Amino acid sequence: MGHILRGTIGILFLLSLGHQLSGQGGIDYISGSLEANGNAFIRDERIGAANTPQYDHQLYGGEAWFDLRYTNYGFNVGLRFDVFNNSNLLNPLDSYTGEGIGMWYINKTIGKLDVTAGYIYDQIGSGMMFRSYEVRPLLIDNALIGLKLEYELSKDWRVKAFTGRQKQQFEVYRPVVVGGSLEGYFSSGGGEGSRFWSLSPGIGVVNRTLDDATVNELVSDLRTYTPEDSIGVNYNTYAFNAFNTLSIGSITWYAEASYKSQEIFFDPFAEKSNWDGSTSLGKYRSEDGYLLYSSLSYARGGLGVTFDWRQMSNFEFRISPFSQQLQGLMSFIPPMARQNTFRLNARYNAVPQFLGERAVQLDVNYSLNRKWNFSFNGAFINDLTGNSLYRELYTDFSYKKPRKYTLTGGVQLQLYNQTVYELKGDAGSVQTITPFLDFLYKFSRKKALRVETQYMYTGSNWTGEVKGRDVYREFGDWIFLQAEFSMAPHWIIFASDMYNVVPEKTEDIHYYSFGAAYTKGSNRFSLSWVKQVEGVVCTGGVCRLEPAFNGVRLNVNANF
Amino acid sequence: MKNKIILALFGFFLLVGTACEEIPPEIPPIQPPTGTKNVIIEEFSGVQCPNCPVGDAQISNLQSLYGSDRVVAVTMHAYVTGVLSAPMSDSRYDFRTDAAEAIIKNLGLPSGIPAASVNRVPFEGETALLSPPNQWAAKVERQLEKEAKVGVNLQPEYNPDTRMLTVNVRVIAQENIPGPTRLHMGLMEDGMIDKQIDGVTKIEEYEHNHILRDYITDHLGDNISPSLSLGETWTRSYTLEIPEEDGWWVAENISVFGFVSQNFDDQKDVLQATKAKIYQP
Repeated sequence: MGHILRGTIGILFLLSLGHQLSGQGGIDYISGSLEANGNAFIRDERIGAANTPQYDHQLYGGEAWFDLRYTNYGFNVGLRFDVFNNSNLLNPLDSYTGEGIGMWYINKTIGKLDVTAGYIYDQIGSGMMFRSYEVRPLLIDNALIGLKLEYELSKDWRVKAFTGRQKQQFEVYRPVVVGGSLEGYFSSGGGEGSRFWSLSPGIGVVNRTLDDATVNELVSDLRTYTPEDSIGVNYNTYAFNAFNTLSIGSITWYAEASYKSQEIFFDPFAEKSNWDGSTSLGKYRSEDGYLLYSSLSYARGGLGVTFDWRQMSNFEFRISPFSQQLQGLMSFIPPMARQNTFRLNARYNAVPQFLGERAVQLDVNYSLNRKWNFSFNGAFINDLTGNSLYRELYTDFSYKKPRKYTLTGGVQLQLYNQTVYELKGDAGSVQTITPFLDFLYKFSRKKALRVETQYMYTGSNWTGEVKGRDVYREFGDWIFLQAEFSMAPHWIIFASDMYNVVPEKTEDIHYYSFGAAYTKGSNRFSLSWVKQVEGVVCTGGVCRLEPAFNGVRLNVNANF
Repeated sequence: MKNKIILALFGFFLLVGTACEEIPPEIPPIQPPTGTKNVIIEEFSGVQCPNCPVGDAQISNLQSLYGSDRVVAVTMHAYVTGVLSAPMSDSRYDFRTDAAEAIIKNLGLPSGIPAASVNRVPFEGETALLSPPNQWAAKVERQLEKEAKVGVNLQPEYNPDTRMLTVNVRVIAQENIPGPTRLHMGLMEDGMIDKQIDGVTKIEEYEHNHILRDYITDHLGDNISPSLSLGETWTRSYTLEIPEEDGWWVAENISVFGFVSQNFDDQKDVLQATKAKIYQP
């Protein structure tokens, strides 16, 4: 009943505020958006699209978000209605149904003080220590429900403080979060004859206090531990960070250091002693953690170079030690690898390892002229003991003949430690070589055809890491082909097939999709038939293991 | 301006620095449970699930601390958990059962395994019945503190020559039970040696214990009564044939487990649980 009450109050407030303020002659502004997805689930046991409530008996499922934002007299008011009906977004194996006000806020600037009450989306620094955010395709919505105050100390310096509890669909987690940051800006002013430089320093702190019920549950579990594994519990955990962006001419250097005080977290790889004398894997540990990140980039003319480095240890920061997978995250730590867009190049993703990871990434982009462009990316990720987790070498070129065609081609080499990333004990590290080609041909100003293809070869040992045994090929080799015909400004028609050309696990299966999208004004409708293999899906830097899908998808997007 | 920044910094460190000390909670040792209610841990597991041995270890710990008669456990492998519970190409056994499939869907699919229900009761303020191993201890402790509302007695009679098994069940209400109650009863087997993924290694000879072999009652239980009055007794006998021993179905490793649940207002709470070995040569 709580969310219905909240929703009713929110709607009444929004409408009455709008009515009253408009009536007084203020300049009001309403905007909003709709995002709606519908799925028809069609059982296909061959690909594993089966045995969930949606495939068994529900047959249909979907979700929608309807967002309203209203501005008048310095007030910003927002309200969002969320609907989940037999949705598989929260848990791909189960069905989730719920509806209500998923978000509301009231924001007002009073002099130099900015006040926000309600659902707060914000971050400190890059967000790797604290970020409350939303990723709809994975149903991550970590808004804090509380109060945020932000004060402008000067034109270049701001201080903010916030407190609240984290959202859990239409409920809230019990632990309380409080935090704040101080951020500023210095620059040389860039006067004549002097080189321009700027500094954007900042510091932040976040405290999470566990509630009594959560601590009591922890205590109950820890009481069962043998003396050698016995640890204590803290109610409070603190995280601090300091960050800075230095810009000198064409060079930008970002650096961030975060520290998290001792807290209890579950380590699935820690050895636990049992009362019968045996040992098993997985137990709570109570330790502090850190994250160090630096990014150095250079951009001049047609050349752009970025070098990233990151190391973290025991930096799993969640609202509750009982939260799992993508639930209850308090920070946003993206993969330290390229976000690929082509289907097969994006099949294996380096999910950040919060408990221990050391990663470097180099990204180079060079535009020779208006026709030719080249890029390179290399990512190397190890755990803290030096074991290989992920390797990626990627290079591409594109040639553009203005108003006629664009050709893009390249190759990607990957090593993906599936044992660690997907906790598949009998798996290994997949090593792939994936050449790709993308061709866009413009028949006229309105009509164009885009064809893309990739071939993923899994039988290589390009890193030389496999010695004296067969390479691990997971599903085997794949080929992907997609054609997309667009008739601007309304229609896009597409069809694709992903084929397990050298199958290892299953029979050779065609994973084909086809559909169309229609756009008119700010409305977009898309209808497609999708057959999709299981795999890790990353959206906005967050990843999870998704089961196979077979069925029909309808998407509607609108903005006003 | 400089003063404002210094003031803001001072406020920051004052806020953090003065509040860092706390009195941590005490972690008292395990005490013998005061109540008479037993628990049934209905665990969902899988032979290709790297974390599932954690669930087995947690059950073993809880049984070591409270006694295996007070903490009854049955481990189930369902089809819905996909490759995690599917046998490996060189597995001897396929532990998956239709009963497990029906029960996991009835209790609500978890986001991952191992997951278990403890007396089919959620934590206060939560709705999910299945939870990961790190939440079982708290639930077990709370349930063991309660008084049993019914008594459940299982009397198995097994004939090793005919392999016929009769289970005589007696349920006695120890207080008035206003809603409908159901009996859930099945067979589980210990000591089955087969493959198991454990973390990043594959164990060739893992001992699989308390594995559900089959249900004797309906998967979702047999009706006992729309209501029970204090002292009311309900009895029934079930007879079945134990399949031929073929590496598994070893009579001396098989136990019958049973529990009574209360079913109304969307509740599935278990009122009492017990188990008994079917044969001791």
